Amino acid sequence: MKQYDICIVGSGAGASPVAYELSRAGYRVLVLEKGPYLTEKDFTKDEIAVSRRSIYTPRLREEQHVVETYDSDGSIDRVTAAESGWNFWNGSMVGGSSNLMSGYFHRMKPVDFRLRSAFGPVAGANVVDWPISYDDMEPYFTKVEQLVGVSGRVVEHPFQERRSTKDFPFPPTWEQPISGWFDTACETLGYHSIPTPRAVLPFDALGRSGCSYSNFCGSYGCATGAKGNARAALLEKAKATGRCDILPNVFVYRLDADRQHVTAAHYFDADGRPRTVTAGTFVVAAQAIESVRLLFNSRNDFHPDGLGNANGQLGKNLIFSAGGSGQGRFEFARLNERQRFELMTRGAFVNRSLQEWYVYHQNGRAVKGGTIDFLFEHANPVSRALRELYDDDGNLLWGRKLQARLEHAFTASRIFAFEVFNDWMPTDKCFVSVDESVKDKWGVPVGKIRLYGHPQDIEVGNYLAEKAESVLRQMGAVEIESDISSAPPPNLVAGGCRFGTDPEHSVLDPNCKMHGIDNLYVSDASFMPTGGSVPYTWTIYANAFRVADAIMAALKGRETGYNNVKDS
Amino acid sequence: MINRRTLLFGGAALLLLPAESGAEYARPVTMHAEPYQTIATVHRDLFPGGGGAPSPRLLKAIDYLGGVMRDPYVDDDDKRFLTNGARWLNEQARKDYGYAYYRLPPEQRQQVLQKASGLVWGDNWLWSVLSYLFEALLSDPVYGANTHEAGWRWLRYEPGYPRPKTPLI
Repeated sequence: MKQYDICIVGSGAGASPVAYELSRAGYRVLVLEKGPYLTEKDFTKDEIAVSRRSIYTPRLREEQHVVETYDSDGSIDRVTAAESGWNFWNGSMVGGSSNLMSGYFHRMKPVDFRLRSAFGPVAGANVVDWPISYDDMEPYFTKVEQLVGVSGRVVEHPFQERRSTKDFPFPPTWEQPISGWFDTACETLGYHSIPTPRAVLPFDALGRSGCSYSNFCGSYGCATGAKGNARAALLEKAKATGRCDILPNVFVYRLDADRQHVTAAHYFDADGRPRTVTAGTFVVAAQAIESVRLLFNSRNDFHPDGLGNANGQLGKNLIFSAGGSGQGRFEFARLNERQRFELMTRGAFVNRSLQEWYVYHQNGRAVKGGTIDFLFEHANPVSRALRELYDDDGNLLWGRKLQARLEHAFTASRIFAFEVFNDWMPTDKCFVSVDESVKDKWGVPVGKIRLYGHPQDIEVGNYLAEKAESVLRQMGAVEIESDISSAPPPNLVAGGCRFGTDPEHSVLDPNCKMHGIDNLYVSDASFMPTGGSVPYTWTIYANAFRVADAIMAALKGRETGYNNVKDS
Repeated sequence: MINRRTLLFGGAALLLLPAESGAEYARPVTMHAEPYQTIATVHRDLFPGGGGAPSPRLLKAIDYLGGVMRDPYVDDDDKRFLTNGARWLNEQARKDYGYAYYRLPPEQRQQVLQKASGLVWGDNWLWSVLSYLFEALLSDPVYGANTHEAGWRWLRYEPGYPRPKTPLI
């Protein structure tokens, strides 16, 4: 009978550092993952399966969410995902959605840890300082660079954060010639072009293969292991210790707890049979929405409103990455032969960002801005073709006109795009709970997501998008447009288990241990009170390494628990 | 999948066959079934081919649509909408010209398409038909369409590697 010291729910960026560190330190670790165990050999560039049919996420008829939004009159509009097609799932597999990330890795900056102190309160928002500082997190950002593998090149710019190492451990991946165009345009405009750090290995290292430059990265699993996903980078190494077991295809639906301890996790195995596992310490890292759902669904006599919800804070302050995207088109007709050749070079990365307006001044006050990443439009051909279906007046095209438009789009032009990342203000109006009336295929109540975007999110996003558009114009792009909205990106979700020093206003303590429960940690993005103005994954990885240290410190001198897996 | 369908799902019976494990995705459909006759005609009208572009027939677009109808990853509402839309298009054609869409001459079919595209259901349905036609045009040939990579060659598209050896769905 297996015995475990640590039981981790989930296997992504928030889970894998804990499994890695604890197993290497001699502890026995069990990882429970709802999705399958896929490896490099399983990943192909199949747009139909991956993007059009979303095979890496659950079918909405079987597992879904309830989504609530505010109508203009303030009333609540409620819809199930199965009805609306609104999909809040990310990668359901060992390694989680880190398998499918693009790997844009920016560190949060010192100011992100003290938004309230730096900018003051925002009306209608629950902005707070983090209970830790950038200096507390810096060693862990560095650890991620080295263990997960981050490639890049440090350049001086107004918002370059302090580093304990001079440069990244890996040089940038092969870069597209348009990166030079971008640099020139920025120089003309007086902006500081930044090489985008990527969680992609440019060559074989860390026991993994380097990038094959297949031209498909975001949304796709990596067939070489170059992408720093949680499985390839950390879990395989944890497994190799012989002290980490990974169970795929199992769904954890409830935690048992007495007043101060979690005592067991209940899950359905791959055959749908209920099972139970006990362990000395439990870690929940099932992605922000699902972690909160599990904690609500674990309510019992000791915790009648859910684990960690004694003060009504569970699920509150759900955040996403605010911002949006934009694009411009480079027309062959406006380019010389060399430029056309450079533009159509495929496989290489653009690897350019701007953080010029991470903090900017407007109307006499300092405003928290954000990050703009630049890239080519995704290589998915069906998606690209569908963007050409309507003419400039919004009329559906067909026949020879449609064929001509497609041919032009694919063979005589190329779209250059950007993504804006700014803070999503945490508010009382955006949160997660469960909906007892809607059950998943196991009969478990599903998560209910209430969505609300603060007006400041849009204002800042638009400001940044205008700056991004100015670069595209300078580069010579045409048909420039952007789309900034309060629509939440489901792959950039955080909050719901805010960490802090005051149990009245947070779910977790500064080590991400649940207030009032001695052996339960939450190590995914749900701990984040604010999200910073960068994609979350690097921060999730770094914080999970920090949580692993906290767990090991707590376990030192403590007898390890006795555990077993048995039929219920 | 991403789509623009709205709430226009009538009660018509579904043109569905049970999914068969291991079967090819696109395989010949029964063309005398009215929805397939109609949609195959719509394919030709929306995307005639020529000038280097492959025809829907070469792409096996209608056989691919048969695969969509059997695809467990495609929502039943989407499948129902495809067949209902074909029925509504024929109703419109019969009302305006006395015959089903696929029995009309090309000029009248274009008139029906124009009228349909101005309606919410019609715009959404045509978008849906075109989205699966684009899948037949640009999917990996392992799915049985995009014959001889004709769609990729026309648009000078280079696929990503590794390519799928079998359909994953």
